[in-house]
Amino acid sequence: MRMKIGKITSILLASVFFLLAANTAFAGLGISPSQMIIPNLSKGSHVERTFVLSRSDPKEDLYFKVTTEGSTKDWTTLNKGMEFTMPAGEQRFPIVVIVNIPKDIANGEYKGGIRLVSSSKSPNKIGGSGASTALSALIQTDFTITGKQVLEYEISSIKIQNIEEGSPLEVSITIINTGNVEARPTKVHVEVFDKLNKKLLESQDVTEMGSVEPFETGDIAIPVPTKLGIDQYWAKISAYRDEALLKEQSLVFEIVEVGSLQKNGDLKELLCNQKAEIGEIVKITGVFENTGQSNYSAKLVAEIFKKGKLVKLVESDLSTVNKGKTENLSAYFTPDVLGKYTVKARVAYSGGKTPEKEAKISVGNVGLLALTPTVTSVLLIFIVAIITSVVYLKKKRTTKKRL
Amino acid sequence: MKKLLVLMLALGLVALFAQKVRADDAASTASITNVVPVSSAVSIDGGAASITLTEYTTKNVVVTATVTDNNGCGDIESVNVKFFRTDLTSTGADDTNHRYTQAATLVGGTCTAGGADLSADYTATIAVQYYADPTDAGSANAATDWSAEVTPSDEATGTAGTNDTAEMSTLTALNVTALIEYGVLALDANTGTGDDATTVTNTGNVSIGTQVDGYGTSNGDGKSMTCTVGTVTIGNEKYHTTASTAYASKTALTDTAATVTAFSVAQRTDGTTTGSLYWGFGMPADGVSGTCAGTVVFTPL
Repeated sequence: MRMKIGKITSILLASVFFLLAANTAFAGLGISPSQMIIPNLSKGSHVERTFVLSRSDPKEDLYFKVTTEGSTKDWTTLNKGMEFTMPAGEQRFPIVVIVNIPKDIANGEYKGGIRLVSSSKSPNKIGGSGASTALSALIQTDFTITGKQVLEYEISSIKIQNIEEGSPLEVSITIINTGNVEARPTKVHVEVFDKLNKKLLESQDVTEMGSVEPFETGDIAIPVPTKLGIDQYWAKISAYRDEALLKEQSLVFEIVEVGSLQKNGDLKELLCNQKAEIGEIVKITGVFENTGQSNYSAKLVAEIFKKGKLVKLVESDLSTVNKGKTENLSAYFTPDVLGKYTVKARVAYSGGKTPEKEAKISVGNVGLLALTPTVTSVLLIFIVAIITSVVYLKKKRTTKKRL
Repeated sequence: MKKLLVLMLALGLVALFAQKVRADDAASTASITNVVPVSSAVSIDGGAASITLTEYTTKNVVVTATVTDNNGCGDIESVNVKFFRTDLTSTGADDTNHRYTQAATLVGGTCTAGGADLSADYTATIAVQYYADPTDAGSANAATDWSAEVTPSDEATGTAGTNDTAEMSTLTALNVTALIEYGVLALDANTGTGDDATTVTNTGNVSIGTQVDGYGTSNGDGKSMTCTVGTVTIGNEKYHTTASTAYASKTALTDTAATVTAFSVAQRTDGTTTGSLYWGFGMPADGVSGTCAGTVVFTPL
């Protein structure tokens, strides 16, 4: 009996008790959409798509590690990097998947995935035995690469803005371009009727307009000259691809007195890499929202300072930013000297400019060793010391030989 | 007879005269025909091409429109918004999977009273459930999309202008019981037919399967548990879709994500939908002691 009790005791002592660091939170995780299916890619294509990680109970930070897999493994990256944090309090967290198709890949279908594995950094310790669970999200990728040019697009909306008297009509067309070439309608027909939508007042065809890049969704702004005065009107706007009517909308708009439409804008964020190398092109992006009552053109103006002195002024192209829309305005800077730079940028738009925003760029040298002034001085002293030693030794040998 | 005719003629003249006098004194009246209001510029989430839902909760979708009434914007009495899966039409009862109805409200400052201003802007915020039917590429309803229809009314029901449409993106999501508990195990023992269940709840809008993988300390370490002394190899942790399956017959957990066969949790239609996985564990014969910790990762597919 004693032996039996002893055996049981020893087994119990030898038992492994799992005392787990387990997260007791019962919080889910989702990804939307969960697939990235692109059927018409060309070699060398660049595509960016936004996905949203979401959770109903965002009470703590959630840490993500990202891995890519399958035959698309080396072509996909994330704007947030391969490790990032979804902060507490945020139910929705957009991430951008960036796809770069190699130029030397064979045509065909390639499948893979992007796996985002979450973990909580502050788990609750509880006693017990078992395992804790963690959640992960998977974006499945399916890319078809073709050698053919594919023009494929859809018009998702047609809009017209209120304008001030004397301005052209501001028509905008939103295009979802799923093809691998630039897309735009071949013709936009605009008819303007009186406020009762009965009497036709003006009619025009527009065939010259901008376009939307492959695999992107974007707006094409179409200015249409008008001689109409202050009043309410109806516009019937029809967009065609060759002779086929793609979309038609009847919309109300107003022509108002000059100066009555507010033009406001907000530079929401200034983005650029904090570290760069000499000769590297640094992209400076201003995230700008048109908070006014009409469409207008805007550009990012960035002043670059080093030790308080202005060294460069860079600007983005002039872009049309539609009312209520947010656009990324980008300018480029190539540092040619080491050091720390301060970027002070604002957005200039019709009749106004935003308050300034700042960003810092630290420029190091190419290669493993950054040639900071201190390192350069040490290197110089070292080289001089070696040369001096060599010269001294040579002289000593020559003297010895003579002797 | 002649007398009667003269009398009638006289009465007729009096009546005519009296009518003229009354007309001079009365206020003029005219009733104006009602023109029913019409909606235009219908927009879902500011013209978004697609809608992404939020895991296990609602996502506010904002529908805006301009409503025009030729009797003046002040004549508009109500504006009704239907948001629905296009192939199922706007007609029929509301269903959180595919049809929502919401009254729109006037956007302040967009209607000037007095009759000269004919148009006003309206907005409706619709709380769309996480399990609303997806329509994007690759989903079961990829051939259709979602529409917003805006119908205004004054004294009569007006006309809905062109609907706006958007794709509902697939939301692949789940929630899982936080712990898998095995109790106390002796060395070289296993859980047998006993197991611990994890409940997998579908918190997205599409039927899901799941992948599972595990690790001791860090993803890819090939272990199921890391103990104070020693580690337990990954295959010692096992699962099955049927309760009380013997430990030996359960499927070994793997280091890389593997799809659980014969397991799916349907998209929610009425109540929440769940599935269960049953877990077992086998203790090594030696080499481990102290406390152990491990993680099982669930990935919805």
